[in-house]
Amino acid sequence: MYNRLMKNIYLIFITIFVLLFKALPVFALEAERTNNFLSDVKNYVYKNQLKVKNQTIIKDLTNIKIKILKQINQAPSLYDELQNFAIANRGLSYLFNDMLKDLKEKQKFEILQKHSNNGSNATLIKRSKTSLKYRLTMAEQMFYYFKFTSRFVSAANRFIEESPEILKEYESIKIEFSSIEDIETLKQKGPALCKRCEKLLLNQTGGFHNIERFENVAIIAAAINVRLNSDDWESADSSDLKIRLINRLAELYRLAPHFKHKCLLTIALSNAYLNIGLPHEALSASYSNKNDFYDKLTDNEKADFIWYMANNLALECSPGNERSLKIGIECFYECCRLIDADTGIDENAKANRKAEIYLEATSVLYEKNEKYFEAITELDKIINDDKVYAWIKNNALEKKKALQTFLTLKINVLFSNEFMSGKWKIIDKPYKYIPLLAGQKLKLKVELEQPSESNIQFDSVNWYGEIQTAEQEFELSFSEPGKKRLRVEVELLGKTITRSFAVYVKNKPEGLSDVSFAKKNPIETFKALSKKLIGAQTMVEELEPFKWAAETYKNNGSHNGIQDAARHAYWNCLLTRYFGEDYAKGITDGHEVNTSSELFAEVIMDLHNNEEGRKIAQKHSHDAGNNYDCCRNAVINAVRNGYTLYFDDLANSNKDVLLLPTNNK
Amino acid sequence: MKKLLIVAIFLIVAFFTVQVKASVLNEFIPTELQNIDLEMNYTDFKLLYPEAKNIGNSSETFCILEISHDEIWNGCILIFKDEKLKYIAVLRQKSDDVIDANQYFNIEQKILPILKKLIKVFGRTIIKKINKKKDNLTISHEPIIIWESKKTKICLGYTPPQFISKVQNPNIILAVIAEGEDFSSYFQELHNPENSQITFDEMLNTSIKDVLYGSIEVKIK
Repeated sequence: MYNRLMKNIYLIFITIFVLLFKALPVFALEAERTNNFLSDVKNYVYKNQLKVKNQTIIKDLTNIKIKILKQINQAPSLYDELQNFAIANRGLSYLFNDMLKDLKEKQKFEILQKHSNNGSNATLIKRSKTSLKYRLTMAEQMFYYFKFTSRFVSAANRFIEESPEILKEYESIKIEFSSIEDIETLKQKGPALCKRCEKLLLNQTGGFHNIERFENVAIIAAAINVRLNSDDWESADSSDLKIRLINRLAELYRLAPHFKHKCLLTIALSNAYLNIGLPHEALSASYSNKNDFYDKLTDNEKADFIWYMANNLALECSPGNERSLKIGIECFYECCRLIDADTGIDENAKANRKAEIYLEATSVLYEKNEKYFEAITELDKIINDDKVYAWIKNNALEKKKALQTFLTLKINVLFSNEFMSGKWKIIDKPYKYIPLLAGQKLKLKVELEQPSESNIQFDSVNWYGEIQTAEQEFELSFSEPGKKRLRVEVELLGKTITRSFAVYVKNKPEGLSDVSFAKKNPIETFKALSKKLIGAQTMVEELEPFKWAAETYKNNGSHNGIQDAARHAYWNCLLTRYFGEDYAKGITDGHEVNTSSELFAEVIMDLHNNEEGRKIAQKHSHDAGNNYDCCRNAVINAVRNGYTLYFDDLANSNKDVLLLPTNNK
Repeated sequence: MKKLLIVAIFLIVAFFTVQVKASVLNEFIPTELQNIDLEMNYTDFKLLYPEAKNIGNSSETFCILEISHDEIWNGCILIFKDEKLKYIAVLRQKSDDVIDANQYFNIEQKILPILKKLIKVFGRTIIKKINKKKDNLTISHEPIIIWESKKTKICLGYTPPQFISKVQNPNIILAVIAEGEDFSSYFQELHNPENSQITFDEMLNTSIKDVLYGSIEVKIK
C-alpha cells in the first residue's frame, strides 16, 4: 500500500514536473513578450519626448508604433498592458490616446462585422457612414468639425454624468439639430433650438460635467446664433465665420453664471482657437479666464484643467512667444504643486510623476524656445533626484548631453540689401520685417556661430515659404507687394532648428506727387489746409498730426520711431475721416513719390502706417464735428497693439534697418 | 504814321479789354482779394497775404486764403506755377457745424446772380463738363460751366442740390485759369462710361437751364 502510494506520488510528482517543464517556457515566453512589449512602449515614450522631429526619429516612431500595434494584434492581452501603462503613467497617457482609441474602434468594428447578419447593426454602420457624408449645412459642419476634435479627453472619465433631465434634453437637442439639413429649416428651427442650448449653458446651478457633451451644446448654440445673425452664408471653412463663432463662445462665457460652466466654456473656447491654428490665443484665453473659476474647482478638477492647459495648449504653441512660454512653465509647475499636495500617492511616485513632467514639458518648452540653459536646469532636477527611476534619469542625461553642445552654438539668419555694400545684418527677432521694394534685390543667408575650436556643420539647410531652396546663401527679389513669410530649417547634431521671419514688400510709390494730387482735388485740399491736416514743410510743426504725436509720444522717435508711426497713422485717419480713403491715400502716398531710393525703408514704414491709419478711420465710429478724440484713442490702441511699424535703429546710418511692430522692442 | 496808329488802337483795345475783364472779375471776387491778379508773383502774394496757408514747392504751390467778409464766398484757392499765379478760385463750402446744407448752398439764390453776370460778360458760348468725384460713400457729378477765351478760362461749378446731403464736401466754386495752363484734370469727360445715362442737363435745375439756354443764340460746343 505504501509502495503503491509512493509510486503514485512519484507519478504525480513526475506529472507535475513534466507539466511544469512544459508550462514554464510558456510562462517565460509570456513574461518575455510582455517585457519586450513594455520596453517598446517605453522606447516609444522616450522617442516622443525627445521632440526632435527629424526624419530618422519620425520614421523610428512610426516603426515602433507599428510594432506595438502588431504585437497587440498577435496577443490581444497586450492591449490591457498598454492601457495599464497609460493609466499608471497618467502624464504620458496622451501619447497613447489615439492608439487606444483606434484599437477600441477596431474592436468595435470587428464585433459589428461578426454580427453583420444582424439587420439593426448593419443599419448602424450604414447610418454612421452616411452621417459623415451628410450634405452638411453650415452649422452642422461646424458642429461635426468641433465635435470630433475635442481634445479634453481625460476629464470625460472622471466627471460624473449629468442628471437624467439634462441628458434627455441633450439627446433631444442632438436629434433636433441633426434634422436640420438646409438654411430654411435652420432659420425656422434655429432660434428655439439655440434658446434651449443657452438655457442649459447659462443654468444658474450648472449641471454639466462632461466636456464633450457640453462642448457640443455650446457649439450648436454659438453656431446657430452666428448663422442667424449673419447676412451672408459663407462656407463653414471661412476663417471669418470661425472667429465670429469664437466671439460668441466668449460672449457665452461672459454670460454663464456657474463657475463649472465657465470652466467648460473656457475649454470649448480654447479648443475652438486650436482648431483654427491659434494655440497662443487658446492658451491666453484659458489663462485669463482661469481666475474666474479655478479656485472653486476641486483638486481633481484643478489637476484636469491645468493639465489641459499645460499639455494641450502650452505644448502646442510654436516657439518665440515669451508670454506663452511663461504661462506654459507656470502651468507645469502648478501640475507639480498639485502632485505634491496629493496625499494619496507616496513620495517615490510623486518624484517620478514630476520627473515625467520636467522631462516632457518644462525642458521641452525651454528647449523648443532654444533656452538651453533653462532646459538643462530642469533636466538636472531629474538627474539629481534619487527617487527617480533609472530609465527616466538615463533619458534626461542623454538629452542633457545633446543640449550642452547647443549652449555654445547660435544659428543666425542674415540679410544684405543693395545699399549695405556687401555687409550683413542679423535678423535677431522673428517679428521683425526686412523692408524691400518690389523688384529690389536682397541677399539672405543662414550661418552658424560657434566657438573657434569647434567645427560643427549644418547637415542640411532648407528654406520654405515664399522661396524654397536648399542653398545656405542666395539672392532674391519679389515682384508683388505683401508680407512674405519665410522659414529656414537647419539640421545639425540630430536636431532641427527653425528660424522664421518676413520680408515686407511694397511697390515703389509712383504717380502724382502730393502737390499735384492736392491740385487735382482743390475743394478737399482747401479744407485739409484750413484744418491744418496738410501744409508746407515750413509749417509742419503747426499741423494737427504733428502736434498731437509730438505731445503724446514725446521723446519717442520723432523720425522713424514710434512718434513718427503714430503721426502717419493719425494723419491718414483724419484725412480719411474728412475726405475719404482715396484722397487720404493720394495725398500721403504722393508725399513719398519723390523720395530718394536710399530712403526706401522710410518709405515702406510710412506707407504701412498710412495704410493702418486709413483702416483705423474706417473701423471706428467718429465723434461729432471736430472732436478728434475717437481717432486719437484708436491710434493709441493701434500703436499699443503693434499694428504700426517703426525702425529698429532710428539713425539707420548703415541702411540696414529692420521694421518692427510698435508693441515690441 | 498809319502803323503807329494801328499799334496805338491795338494797345487801347487791348488795355480796354483787360480793364473790362478785370472789372468783371472784381464783381465776383471779394474786395479783400482785389489785389490779386493772374500772373502775379508768389513773393508779392506772400507779402500781401502772409496768412495764406500753402502746400508745395517753388515750382508748384497750392495756396488758400480764408474769406470772412463775403456773403457768398468763404475761401480762395490759388495755384502758382514757377512763382506765377495761374489759377484763382473763390469757393463756398460749409463748415462741420452747418446742419441744413441745402439751405446753406441755396443754389437758386447763390448761383443764378453769378450765372447771369457771367453770361452778360462772356455770352452763352460755353463748354459743359461734369466733374466726377468719388469718395467711399457716393459718386457726385458736379456740372462745370466753362467760358473759354484766348486769355483765360472761367469755370463755374457747384454740387447739384440732389447730391448736397450725400457728399462729404458740397461746394460752389468760381475759378479763373490763366492762358496756356492745362487744368484738364479738373474737368473729366462728360459721358463717363460707368454713368453714361447721366447728362449734364440732368444736373441742372429749371431756373439754371432757363438762364443758361434762355436764348436762341445759345451755342453748345
